Amino acid sequence: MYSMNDKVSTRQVKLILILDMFSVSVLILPRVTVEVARQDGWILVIGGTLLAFLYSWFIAQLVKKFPEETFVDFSGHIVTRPIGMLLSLFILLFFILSAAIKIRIFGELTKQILLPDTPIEFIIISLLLICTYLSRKGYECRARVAEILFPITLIPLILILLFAIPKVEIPNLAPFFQLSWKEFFSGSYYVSLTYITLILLLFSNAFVQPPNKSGGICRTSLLVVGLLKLSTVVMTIAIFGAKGTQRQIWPVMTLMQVIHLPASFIERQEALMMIFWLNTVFSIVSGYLYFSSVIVTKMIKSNEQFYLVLPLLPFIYILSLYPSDIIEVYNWQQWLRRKIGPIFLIVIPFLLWLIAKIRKVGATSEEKK
Amino acid sequence: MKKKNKYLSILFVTLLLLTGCWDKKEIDDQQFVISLGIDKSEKETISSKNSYRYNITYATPNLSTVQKNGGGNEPFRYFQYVTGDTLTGTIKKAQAYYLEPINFEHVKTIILGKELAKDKVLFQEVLDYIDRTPQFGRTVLVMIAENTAKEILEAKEETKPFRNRYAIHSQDITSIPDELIIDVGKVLNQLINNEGTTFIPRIKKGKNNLGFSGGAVFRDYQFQGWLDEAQVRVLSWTLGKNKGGYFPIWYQGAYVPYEVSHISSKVVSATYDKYLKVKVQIETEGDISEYILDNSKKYIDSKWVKQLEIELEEAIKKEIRDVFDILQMEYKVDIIGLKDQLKLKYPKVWKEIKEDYEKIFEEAEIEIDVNISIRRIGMVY
Repeated sequence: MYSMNDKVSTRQVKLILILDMFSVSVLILPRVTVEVARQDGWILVIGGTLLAFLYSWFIAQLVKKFPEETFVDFSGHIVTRPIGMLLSLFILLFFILSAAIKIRIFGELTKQILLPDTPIEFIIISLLLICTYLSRKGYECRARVAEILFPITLIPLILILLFAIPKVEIPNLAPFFQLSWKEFFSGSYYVSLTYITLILLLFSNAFVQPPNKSGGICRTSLLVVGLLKLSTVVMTIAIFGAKGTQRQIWPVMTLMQVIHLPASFIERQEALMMIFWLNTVFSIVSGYLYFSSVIVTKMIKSNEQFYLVLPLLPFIYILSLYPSDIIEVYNWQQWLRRKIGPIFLIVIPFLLWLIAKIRKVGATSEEKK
Repeated sequence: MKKKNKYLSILFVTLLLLTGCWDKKEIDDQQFVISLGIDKSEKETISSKNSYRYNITYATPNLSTVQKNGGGNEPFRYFQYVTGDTLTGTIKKAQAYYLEPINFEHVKTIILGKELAKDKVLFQEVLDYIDRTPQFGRTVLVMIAENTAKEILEAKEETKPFRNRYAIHSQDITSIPDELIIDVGKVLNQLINNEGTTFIPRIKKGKNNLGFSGGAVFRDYQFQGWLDEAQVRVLSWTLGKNKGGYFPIWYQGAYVPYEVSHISSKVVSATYDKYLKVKVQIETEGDISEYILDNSKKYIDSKWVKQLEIELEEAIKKEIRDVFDILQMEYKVDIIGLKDQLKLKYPKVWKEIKEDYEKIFEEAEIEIDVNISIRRIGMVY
């Protein structure tokens, strides 16, 4: 093993962030935007991404003040340790619940499309175990895995989108710009919440070398993810129409069925697509798992992180199987994203940044120079 | 000791790998359905509480005839027939009869019987099933049988049976005009986005062949009526498709076909004032490929061509007019793509009429402007 010092480069963090942000949410994003703004849904993606730039600015400013520290440490510095601990505990719960929902969605889709006879429990356990294996090895390992997964996930996706272009029917997007300002803002706000994984930056900054480049990391990865999401949403609406998109549970999966590869080379592209998409789920779930274990490590002031991953598994497993059907899972996801997401994505980073500014805790940019 | 443990653990891991998996699919044990025919059962009386609603016919290929020199006198395909209450139930029943899982991942064509298409509920059920079941791709071709789907699937053609000549690949099918290639994804999109309005081509059994002829028009998921071959051809002109199609006209003592090599159609103006007023412009380019061998007759010259162009324009305009009248008055359904064009180009007009579009379309005044250019006349004057 070489250089297992748990330090990763900014480039690697960008790759991780892109994979994480581009995970489950993109599968349902077209439907969600269409529900708000009908055929103009794609405009919301632009608005949402712009808002996410704003959130990321606060997060970047916050973590800049505390290089080499995770959220658990610096929230203690800013708002005293007990409150910091409480916040960390909430984030821990949020991570566990998010991981559970992501993994359940993944399980449901795999069962429906790839493995109809395999029990969903088995699908979930096997993915959880492999995520545990990765999480135990630390952040550096995650970065290396992201480097491998990045091309094999995104290149096929872009190729498949290109194959779908002939099926696009522009009249489905017309008439343009029919949404009201209210719809635009509420919709953009909602879309911006799909970038919730930005909060992983609150923790990951401690592992980045050099540590004060968070702003740039956020901008690049948001731009890439924003463009990918935009093109996916535009294509989906243009192919299925507004009402057709609304009917699909997984519009992007159905998008794969539309494509007809020459000479019936591969007949069920959505199965192929699942395999690529699985990579991003793997990335995000192992991310949540890893940072959950990091929070526990910091909270109990342990030196080692790896042995704390496995005890988290039962919680995630049971929670993931708790909702009875796919619609309930979706409702949980909505609740988590709409009600809880904003607190962690917007309110907490902003307040902490404000308090840190007022109390003058943490390194300022002038000091570093 | 340690070495022994290592070997043992390797053995155990291999054991795990040898167990196979839940979802193994032995390729020999699957019935790969190639075409699926769905008919309304004759016993169907009331839609509820009847265990005989659907007749399903499905064809699976005889794999031994697919091989190069295998087969001999064996049939190309096997047929299975089964009746049931719901599609899922029917297919489960078929699985129970033939003890082999049925696989729909390779379905190329779905043929709906005429009676089924005319039954609103059954039609909606079938299309929902296709949409909901992940096994069906969205590129499956869909068509309506002139009588029953069973008859179409069983039909023998002179050379070879209906072996999905129409289904293998849209590019391979030279006999189907473009506008008739409609996959199920497109039908579903149209139905969902346009309040149950769509057009599905009709397949017809001749004496010893099969062919497409016209299609069925749906509004509000309800079968409205047929369009015949000539009407569909005209319809495709207004959609700006039908490249490679032709239009025959009686001109100066001979039957002259006009072969279309390029066509485009667009709405050039639209206004709404009590009623909708639209102008559709169709521009085509094409060739004259036949005339008459008669030396006493005048050769083709530019005057002759000009005159023919004008006559063609008039004739085509009239035919389009007739089809539009049927669509507007009788079927009351916009399958000419007018809605899409209005949405795209005249959003202001569209905004005014979208609430009551169906009615407004019925009363709309559609002006047709056909512009024909004859580019080539073959090798002789």
